[in-house]
Amino acid sequence: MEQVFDFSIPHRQPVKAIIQALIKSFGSMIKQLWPIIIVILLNKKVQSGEGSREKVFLFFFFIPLLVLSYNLFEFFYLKYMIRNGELVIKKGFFVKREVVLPFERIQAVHLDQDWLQRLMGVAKITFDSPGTTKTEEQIFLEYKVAIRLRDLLVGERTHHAVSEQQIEKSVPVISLDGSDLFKLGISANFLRVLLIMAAFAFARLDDLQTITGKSSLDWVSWLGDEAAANSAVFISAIAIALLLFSMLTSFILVVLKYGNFQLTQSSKGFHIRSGLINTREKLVPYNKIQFISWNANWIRRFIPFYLFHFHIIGDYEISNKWKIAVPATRLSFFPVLLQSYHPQLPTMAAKLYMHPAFLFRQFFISLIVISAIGVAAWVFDFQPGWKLLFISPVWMFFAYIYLKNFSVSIAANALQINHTLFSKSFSLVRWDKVVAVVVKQSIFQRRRNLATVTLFTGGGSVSLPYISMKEAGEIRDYALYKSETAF
Amino acid sequence: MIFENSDISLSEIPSADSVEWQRVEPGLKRVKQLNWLLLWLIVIAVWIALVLFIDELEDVTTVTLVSIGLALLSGFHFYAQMKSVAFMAYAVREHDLLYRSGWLVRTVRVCPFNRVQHCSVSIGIFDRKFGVSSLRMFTAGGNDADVKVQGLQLKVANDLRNWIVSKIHKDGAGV
Repeated sequence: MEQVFDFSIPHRQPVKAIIQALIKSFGSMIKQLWPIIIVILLNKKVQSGEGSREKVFLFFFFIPLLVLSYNLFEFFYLKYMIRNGELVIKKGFFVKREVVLPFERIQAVHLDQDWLQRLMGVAKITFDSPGTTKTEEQIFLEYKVAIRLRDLLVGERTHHAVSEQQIEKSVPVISLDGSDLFKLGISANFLRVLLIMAAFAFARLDDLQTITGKSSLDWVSWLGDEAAANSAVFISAIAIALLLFSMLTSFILVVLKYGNFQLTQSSKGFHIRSGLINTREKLVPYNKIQFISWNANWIRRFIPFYLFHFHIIGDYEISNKWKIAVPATRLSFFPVLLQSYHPQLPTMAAKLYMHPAFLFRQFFISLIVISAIGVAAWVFDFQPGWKLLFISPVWMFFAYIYLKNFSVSIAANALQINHTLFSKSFSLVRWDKVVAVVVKQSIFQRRRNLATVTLFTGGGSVSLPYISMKEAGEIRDYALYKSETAF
Repeated sequence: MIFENSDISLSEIPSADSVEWQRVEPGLKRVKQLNWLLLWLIVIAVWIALVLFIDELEDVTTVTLVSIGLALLSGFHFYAQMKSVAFMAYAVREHDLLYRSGWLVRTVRVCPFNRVQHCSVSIGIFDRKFGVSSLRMFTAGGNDADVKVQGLQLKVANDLRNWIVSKIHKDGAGV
């Protein structure tokens, strides 16, 4: 039997969505306050029952009650409906607000489900619209209702009631099998994960300084002392163990992120669904794609495995968590992913390169940085600071690799930028998607008749640094011509 | 020639190099000077407060060196502001607006009218006194892509805004 959900009348969020939101806000509160809670619990006065009962009451009863009550009021007072081609969200108990999102302004609709939301059959639906505000509007709905609302908003239907029969069927394009997922996981950038884990560990160690009495820097010097006192074999074993741990962690993270990955396409756009436990869904309408980029990290470039990013309007201001990359595990996926935008430019296309003066400029900047480090190390008598002077040769090596690999392929309707350093990175921009052009010249560039051109689109920008002024002028004029004559 | 185009040759595309630049109003120089004065009065007040209330800052050498540093920085800031205003100019063409600014790093921004989302005119306290205003063209590309023309006469800014808005309505704006 066909089910109909009428969006033209105001609806509240379902009760089970409120329950999961309360559980989540309680969880996030614990996440924020846990160092303070541990400090209170380990406080000897609290343990012996002397005083500080107010603090215990404050942290374990009053603050959670206050936060949960606020969330409950805010949740209960949110209503949504569709009125004359606009999504209307009325919300706020303490401060009342009405958000009106015209259909044509909504660029993308995201659907998210973590494990708790999946268990309770609810989903978080979030809308992107261009503008100066960075606020992301979101509603929690039953999963089926969320799907229908998304299809209604992106499909731009004229009537406000959607049945299951009206939802357009999509064609599968990419789905990852076990071997794809394994290769994707094993080729993740584990060094990056190692650095993130180290930063996280340092932050937590600082949080617990009141208990341990040691800051993260104290722990670093303790590690240094331990390393000096032990044999090279022991230190190597620890380093290998850390690397293996970071590889395993990055593998698990990738599997969690791309498990059940599926990309389907309909006449309106791509539908991306990803996530093993926490599921995220995104609908990318073809006409909203501003530019496309793809990259392969220093391991994946040899397989080759690429991650595709569709940059839609407002992409520059949404957080990374909403950006879903599409893993192109086979080169045969490229034409399908690019067909709605512009084909990849052939290798024989006309090319632009950066001027070698870029290298000289980087050398000059590295000298300034080295001088600053040297002066700081001398003033503060910080001996290890001198070791940082190795930055200059490393900096120059990076700059050389970037200069050597950078190229811009140019065609009548698009340009493709290769900005590879260690990971292979490409951006494909259609001229008619350009919303503004900026040409910059420093004193150094003016002397050599060079310039940096930045092409802005609604989904972000691309830069062409250190090209000749003549080429910069031609790029600017052609981009404006294509943009101004596009409809 | 960098690239080929079967529809139109590059020589036929109007070049933005040959535009006639309009200088911004001289009143902007006064506004910048007052803004500079206000900023540095605050910095000096904070510095004096720090010297008076923080015991570690009793050392005459430190105070002298930092004061000289601040004086040099403020002088450089003043000079950079004045040079920057001297370079500022704008040009309006049939389909876009160009704006140049900067001193050490010179920037030319171009925004096609059919990519403008909306337009606004703003006037600050000092602007009002010296009869200048700013016109901002908002695009879907965000703050970095927006074009803000400073130092326009209020009437010119309003006329330009109305003309651009009517052009957007007539030709349509998109991304």
